[in-house]
Amino acid sequence: MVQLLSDYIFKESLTPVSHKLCIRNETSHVLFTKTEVILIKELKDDGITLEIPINICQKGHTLTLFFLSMETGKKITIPNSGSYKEALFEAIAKVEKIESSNLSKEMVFIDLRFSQYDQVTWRKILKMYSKNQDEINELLMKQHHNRE
Amino acid sequence: MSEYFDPLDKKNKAILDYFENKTWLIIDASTSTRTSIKKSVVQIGSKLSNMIDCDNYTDALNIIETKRPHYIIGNNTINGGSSVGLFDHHLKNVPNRLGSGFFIIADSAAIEEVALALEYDMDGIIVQPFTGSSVIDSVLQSVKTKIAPSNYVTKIEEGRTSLLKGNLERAMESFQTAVKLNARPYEGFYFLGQLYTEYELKEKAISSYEESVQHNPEYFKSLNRLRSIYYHQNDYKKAYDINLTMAKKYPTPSNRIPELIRLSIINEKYEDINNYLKVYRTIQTPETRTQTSISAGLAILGKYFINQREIDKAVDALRGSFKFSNGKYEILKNISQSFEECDQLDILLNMFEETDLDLWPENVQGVYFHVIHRTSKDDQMVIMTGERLLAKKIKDVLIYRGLIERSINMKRKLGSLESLVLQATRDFPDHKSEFEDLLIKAQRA
Repeated sequence: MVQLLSDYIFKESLTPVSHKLCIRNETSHVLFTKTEVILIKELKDDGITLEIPINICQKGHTLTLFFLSMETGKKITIPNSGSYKEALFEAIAKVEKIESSNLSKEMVFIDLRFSQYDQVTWRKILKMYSKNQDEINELLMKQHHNRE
Repeated sequence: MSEYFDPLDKKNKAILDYFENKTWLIIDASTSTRTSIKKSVVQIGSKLSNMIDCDNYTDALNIIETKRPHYIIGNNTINGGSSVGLFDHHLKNVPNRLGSGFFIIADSAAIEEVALALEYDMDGIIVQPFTGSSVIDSVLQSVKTKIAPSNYVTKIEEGRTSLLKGNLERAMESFQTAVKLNARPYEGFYFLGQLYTEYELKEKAISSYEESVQHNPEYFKSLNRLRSIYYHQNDYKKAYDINLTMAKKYPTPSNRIPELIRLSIINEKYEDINNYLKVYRTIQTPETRTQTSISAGLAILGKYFINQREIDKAVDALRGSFKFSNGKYEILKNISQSFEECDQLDILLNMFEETDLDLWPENVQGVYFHVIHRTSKDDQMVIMTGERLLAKKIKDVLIYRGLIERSINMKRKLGSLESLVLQATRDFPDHKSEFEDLLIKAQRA
């Protein structure tokens, strides 16, 4: 069979792991569902670092985080209390640190520590992201596989 | 803490020894992220006191030039630029790559960044969001050959250091020795290719790269050099084949899509060409930079189908090109020429009218005006539209051309035409003769 460039160039050869994230601030009762402006920067054993717009939370606030699939549509309606059945993972977390960003005055970095969460599911999420990184490392190194 | 790296395990002693005295620069806008990365790096043997961090490009550049850190981990997005731009400075300041490395932290849409890392030969990409173990694993993956280098690797690095310092003769000696030290010396031949390129010995450079690929058909850097050389030498058959080899193995950066579509056309790969039309529709919501590349590619495709007189397919491709153009002036101008060529400008006019042009750059109004000018029978309306654009300081040859042609149609006073031509010539002196010819035409009418 003849192989063609068009069979390959639009194909994404990586399957990057990603989630949409929504926030419910339990202290101020603010719901934030603009997932496109929430960036997950770092995943820790029992917490997370995010880049989010200003004024969603303050240090010491308690937040509920909802991890959603990337296929979730734009219209997201998280409940005022309790669980959200569409969420793949939920965690109640405390804002431990807020840091302003020199990239945008409208954004801040926040460090969150989980207080209530399903550790088994969280471990699975960490592994998924870790596997994604392995795939990229593999892609970069495979050209040297037959190095002697 | 990495699940895989145990600092107390004896087999990891060589790693701890290697990193013990290495200095680091960590660049990220967030202090927390910088602290986390430093904590991870401590686990593999480096000392906290040997680490510097900063949150912007200027400081990072200054640190590289004054402190010359061995290793850098930098976020792709930092204040004042991208850490990618620091790579060359790091190479120049720390040319011994056996004792140094450079890593980029990138967003999860990492295909472009992987392509970039391969192209630049960086040591790795750390994808956001990252974990402590993913930082460690990425660093460890890349230093495997640096910790206990073979004679071959040592010679290659000697040569590379000489090359970076501009000592070509010494580099040549190192690489020529290196290729005799390994059964698959693909890197050695790649660097010989680089050296011959420096000496402007093109044929020798090509045969060195080709020999490199014979030793390792997956070696990105040699494939990439050959891809570029074949294309620029108009050896399109070879260029197509090598691009196909690369596309099968590595992600294709979107900015190369137009070149690849052009290659399919030149090589008369009809199935390929029709495939592009089908495939682009399956793309969901590509990033802006990808959209622009797809748009440029589809514009090329549209032109091809016009030449083949396959007008339906041409219109299909051009519609796609418009959709992904994000208001890029050059692309829209190109599309407009193609639509005009196949006498389908009404379609383009409809697409313009269905688009919120306020979201696009102001200069696209020039192309929009041209389409109105070419499709409308209403001289007065066209003139009013054009004059309104000029009053808003949107200046474009297309606007002046349309205004002059319509003014001639309307038999406007010669004085006002002369002043319009004068204004057009002042704004676009390169088009002076074209505008003056139009004036002469009006004077004779």
